[in-house]
Amino acid sequence: MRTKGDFPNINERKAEGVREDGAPYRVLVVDDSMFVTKQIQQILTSEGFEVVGVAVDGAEGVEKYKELHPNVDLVTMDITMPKMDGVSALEKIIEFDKNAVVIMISALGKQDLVKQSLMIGAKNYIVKPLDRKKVLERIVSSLNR
Amino acid sequence: MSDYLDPNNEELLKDFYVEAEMQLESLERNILVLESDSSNEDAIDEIFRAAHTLKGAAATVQMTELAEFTHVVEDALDEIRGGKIKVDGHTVDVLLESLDIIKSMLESRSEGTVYGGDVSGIKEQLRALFEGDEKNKSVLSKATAKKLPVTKVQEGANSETFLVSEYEILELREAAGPDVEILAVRVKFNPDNPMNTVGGIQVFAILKSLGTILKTEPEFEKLYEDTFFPEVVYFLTGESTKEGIEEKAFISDVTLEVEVLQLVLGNEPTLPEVATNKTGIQAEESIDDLVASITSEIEEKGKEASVDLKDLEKATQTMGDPLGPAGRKVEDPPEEKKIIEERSEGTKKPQNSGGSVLRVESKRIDDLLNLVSETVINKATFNQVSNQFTENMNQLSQIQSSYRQLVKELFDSLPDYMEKIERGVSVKDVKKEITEGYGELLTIFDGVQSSFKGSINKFRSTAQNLGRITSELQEGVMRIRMVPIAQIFSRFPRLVRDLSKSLDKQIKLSIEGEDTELDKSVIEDLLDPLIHCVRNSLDHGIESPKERTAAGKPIEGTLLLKASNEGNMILIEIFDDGKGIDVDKVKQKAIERGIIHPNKLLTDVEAYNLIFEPGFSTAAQVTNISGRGVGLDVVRKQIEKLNGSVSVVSTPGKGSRFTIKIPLTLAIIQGLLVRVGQELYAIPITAVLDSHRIKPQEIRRIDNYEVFNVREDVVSLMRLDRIFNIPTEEKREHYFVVIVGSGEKKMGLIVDQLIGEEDVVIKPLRDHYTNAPGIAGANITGDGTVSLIIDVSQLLELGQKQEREARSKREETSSRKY
Repeated sequence: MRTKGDFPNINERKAEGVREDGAPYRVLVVDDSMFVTKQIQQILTSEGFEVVGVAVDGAEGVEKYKELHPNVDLVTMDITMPKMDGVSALEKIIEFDKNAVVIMISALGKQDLVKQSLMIGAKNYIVKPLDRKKVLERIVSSLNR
Repeated sequence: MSDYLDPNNEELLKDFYVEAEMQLESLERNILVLESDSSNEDAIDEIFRAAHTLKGAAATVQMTELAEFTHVVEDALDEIRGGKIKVDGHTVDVLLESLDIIKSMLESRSEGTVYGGDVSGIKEQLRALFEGDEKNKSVLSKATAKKLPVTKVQEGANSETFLVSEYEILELREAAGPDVEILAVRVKFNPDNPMNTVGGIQVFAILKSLGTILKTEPEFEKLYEDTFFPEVVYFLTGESTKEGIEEKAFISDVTLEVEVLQLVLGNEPTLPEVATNKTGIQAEESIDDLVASITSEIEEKGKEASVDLKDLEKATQTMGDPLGPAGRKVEDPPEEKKIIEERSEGTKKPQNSGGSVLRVESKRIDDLLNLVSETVINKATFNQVSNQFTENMNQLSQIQSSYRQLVKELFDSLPDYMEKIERGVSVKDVKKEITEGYGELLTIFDGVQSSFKGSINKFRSTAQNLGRITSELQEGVMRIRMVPIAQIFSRFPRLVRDLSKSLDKQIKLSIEGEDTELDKSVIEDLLDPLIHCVRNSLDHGIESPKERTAAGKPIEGTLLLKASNEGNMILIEIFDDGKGIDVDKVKQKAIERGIIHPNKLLTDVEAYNLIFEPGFSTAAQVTNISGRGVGLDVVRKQIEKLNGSVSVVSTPGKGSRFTIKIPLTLAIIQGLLVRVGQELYAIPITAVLDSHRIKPQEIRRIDNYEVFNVREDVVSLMRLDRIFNIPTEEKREHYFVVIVGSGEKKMGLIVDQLIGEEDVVIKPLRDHYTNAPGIAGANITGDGTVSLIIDVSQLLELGQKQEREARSKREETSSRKY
């Protein structure tokens, strides 16, 4: 896999996933699909984010969040997952930390759930199939908000 | 779309395929669960989730045909989940068929092509599932079509209310209280956003954090519905500045424009509002026109569509009824063909999965790492021992030199002592003097001996440790390649279902021991023979419902697939409660086919196992399912390739049991090492029945063949040196004979020497060596020499071929005589 270190950076553009002070934003990825998880990881790490945790279902996601807190800046949360779905997991996370930055990952056709999540406190949502530009845009904008 | 699909991203694609396969497996399993228990909600949820994930993943990797098709499937599943479709046999059929299409789509993709088959038919069937069940679907679609313009009209009204909302503004003011600034945030949304209906809520959620939202236009409940509003106005109070709100409420590619208006205290409407008022009215008019035209258009289309649908329904009905039975008949053969195709797919598979992915429990890797660290420690101990030995050596050489010195001195001084004795000094005194001077000599080696002893002990225990670790390591690595047999067993429910449908038999499949673990390579090669056996049992074993009732058995036949461990072998049994094997028929057939001699006496078990002989098929009629000329002999060949064996026992009228025995792994086997001339050979111990030491005169000749008597049996002999052309001294006092067998065949191999049993690590032979008949691979023995591993079944065949050739030659010559 290509990593940032392999190529000299000609345009001195700051990586999106790095704070002003140079520390990377730390992300927890919650998704039951290994494939999507990997994709998010690739996109994020290529921009300097640090994926500090991966969970395969909602319950594990909540647990990981509590474990990592406060050393986690952002959570990407799939909606359809076994055991505990993303919306319930979001609820639990917000209950635990009302300032949590959670971004929902949803497939097309789940508008109602996305709306519900936004009302509960999700900062943004991303629609699958994932597009690198959009993912980064929405994540960065949620972090800056 | 996504730049994550460049050719470099094979890794991601690989993951996609692995996951897709898992989803498919889960889909198939749960659909079958659903068939027997249509109200199983867990299964439905699981199916839905799998289909959904698959769709998402397919869209991501830009397999549009796949994503599109799965989407239709998902729609149907959604209806099932909602309880709108009842799950019956037909539904399951359609779903399974769709799964097959998804499978072939994936397969084409993995081969680098795009599935070219026509899926419109199955798509129609899927749609018909949810359309057919609600007969008034056309009405429904019309209703939704009507609903759409209604909301649009409302929209028009909404913009109106916003613009002439002086009364409502008053109301808002009252709600907010005096002296509070009310902001109207007007947001235009981007209709091209894939989830454009979410925007309204998204902005709502953001604004909520900035202040109190008094009211929205359209109302909040409407926003929550699944309708897209191009423009929403939020009324809120709070401390935020206009710019702040504008900045925060703007979400790229969700919103197009954010405008914050201030509602000023007092009754007079502000200027900007008037301005917007005018344009608003214009806009309103045009919207109204648009809405009117759209409504009429949609209504027309809806009518058309409903007519089309009705026509279609009628047509299908008229077509379906007279063709009904015929249609079924036409349908059946393709189904069977499909099954055959599936089979050939099955054989193709292993080739495709050349770079296959293996999922391993992380604990197994951890265990390995543990063992590796132990070997590192072990290595350090060995280094230590080696240092000790060097030390010992140094010590020894030192002691040796002082020993030499002393001995030399002793020799040199001997004449002096002799002289002393001659001079009259008493012997006793001389002795005493010698002991004083050279007594050391006796004990000089004691120290070094004890340190040598210590080192040797340490060396021994370290070597012992190494032995233990390596065998554990070997086991650990093997365990990495171990996968549960459930991987292939999971395919059978579907197979049995399809087969029993096409055979018109009722069969219940039960599976036991699916957790039994097997080497991955073995599992891959095991699928085909297993399918063959199961197919055979279904086709020839289990009777039709009619025959079963006549025989007083339950209509439903049972098939049991069972796997278990037996030492370092795996036992797979296939039981059926069918009619069993007719021994007489088998014998008769075997005689007909020239497989056995008419006079040959056979036990029942021997007779049963004749069905594994090439060219044997007792089914009177050749069906598509089994008995296509390739019979169970293929099964035996494949199992023997895995160094296993297959046998069958049967009770007439009660059923039969196929037993397949295979070693846990292919990579390491137990072998009997033998020597022929200067060469070493390893014979797999599983094939070795017996070994004997015989004198030359015990070898007899029948028809020019060397044979030899073992108890009551006559075994033909084969000289390995002649077969492999190895120069050796054939005349000797004794010969060693290793009796090998596979199935019912037996043969004695004459070798020069038996060396012993050893673990043999099989190294495959490459390229042009692979064709060497009778050789399965190579192995490196402990002292570094190479030994070839003998493929017993091939060797037996070779021997038989020679025998047959010789026989036909004989027959030719004898017929010429007459």
